Amino acid sequence: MSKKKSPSDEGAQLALEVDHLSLEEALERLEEIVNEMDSESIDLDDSIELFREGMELTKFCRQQITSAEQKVQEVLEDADGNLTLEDFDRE
Amino acid sequence: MNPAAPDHTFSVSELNNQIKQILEMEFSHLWLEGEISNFKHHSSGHMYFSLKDAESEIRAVMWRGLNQSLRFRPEDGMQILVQGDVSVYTPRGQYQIIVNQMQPAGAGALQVAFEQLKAKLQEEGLFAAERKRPLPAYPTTIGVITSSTGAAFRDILNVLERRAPYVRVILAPARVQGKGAAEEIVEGIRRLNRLENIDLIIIGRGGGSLEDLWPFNEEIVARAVVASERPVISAVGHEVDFSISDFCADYRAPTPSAAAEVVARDTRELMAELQGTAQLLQERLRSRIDRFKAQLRTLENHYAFKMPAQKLATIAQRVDDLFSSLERHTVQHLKEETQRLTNLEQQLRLLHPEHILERGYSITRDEDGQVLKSPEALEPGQKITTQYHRGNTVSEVKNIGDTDE
Repeated sequence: MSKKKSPSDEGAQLALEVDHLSLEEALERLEEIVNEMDSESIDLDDSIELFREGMELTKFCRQQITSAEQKVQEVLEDADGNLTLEDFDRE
Repeated sequence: MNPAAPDHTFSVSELNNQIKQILEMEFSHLWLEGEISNFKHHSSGHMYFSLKDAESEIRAVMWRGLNQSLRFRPEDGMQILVQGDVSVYTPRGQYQIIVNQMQPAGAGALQVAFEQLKAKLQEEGLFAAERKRPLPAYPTTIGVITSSTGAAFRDILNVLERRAPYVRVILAPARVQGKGAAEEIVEGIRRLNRLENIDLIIIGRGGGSLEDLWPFNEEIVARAVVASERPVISAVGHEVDFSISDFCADYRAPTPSAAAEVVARDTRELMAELQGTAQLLQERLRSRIDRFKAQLRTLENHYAFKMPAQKLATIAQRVDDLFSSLERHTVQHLKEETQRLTNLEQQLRLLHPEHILERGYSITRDEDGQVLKSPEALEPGQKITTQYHRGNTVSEVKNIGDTDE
């Protein structure tokens, strides 16, 4: 799921970066941001930038964990050693 | 007395062959217990050793074809029970027992094999705590190696569905007992390591006898667990059952359900945590804006050269706007507003006495701290304080001249 990249559209670009994150990385970065924002020396401008990134990340994390349906697959290997994923049938 | 001419003289071969026939007839399929000594596993694959008790010993051999299926390694000093046939190695006239089956006396063969492999791998450092990797705290894709029809897999899916339906599960199906099971588990580990984005791997099965759980005590499984690039959780049997894979894995779960509980953070818990983080972010931004406000106020108070009051009022207004725009406006708006504010602050700072003092000017105050713009109000003998860029001096007034001097 790729979004159009245009230099004027910062939101889209950030979202694109966020897409490559794992939940774990996103949560780690969030913790970093919260700590950085607590620093005495931080610039007001930077703190707004961090706030924005932080809000994007919480949104990303929420999206990651709100999938309602459990996805179960089986990994199979064909004779040539290629792996394929097939949906697993829970009877 | 002269020996009579013999009716029959044996050749050596004949004698040995007859002895062999008698022994083989008399001592076949017998059970024998003794202690192993002089054990040699020859490069041909055959095993040669002696069995002894306190007073006596007998040579023994176990051919390759039979010893390949042994689950444990015979060693000198080990007490064993064998079933075999006595025979004679005629070229040397030595009798020996040909072993068909062997098992440790006392403990079961599997138990001995388990202890042996455990000791060996421990020696190699495969169980070392520092070799164990931390589990990812928030996995979203996990690999599972178990039987696709077993209770273990059902249990794992149930726990995940209840707590964390967002976790994607990828099964590498493998038999988990009987011949070939160990190989399938190893293959599963290899396969899941080839997939991208697998955060961790669970291998396991439900409870059973030591025989049932045996694949998880095989050396090839232990080594594959150690070699896995992804962290591995071993979840074999019930609470009390330990397997070799438990010792090798990065984490041991007492049951497959427990493994699922450990890996998946509860969705509701996580959502609440995220909610808290978002709030914290807002609070921190707010307190940063408050600090900015306070900075402006300090700046204002320190003014020796007053800013036009109107200008300060504008800034104060802007700060209040900024604060409320946190709720009402987009972050973009917030950003533009801040930009304007920081520019203003910059200008203010340039006018600040600090910057003027830096250039070599100083400020003189009377005893009440009033800034002196002319000496008219001073008397000789009065104390005045001079503030420089760095530091102060206190002086006494001697003369009062006029401005032209």
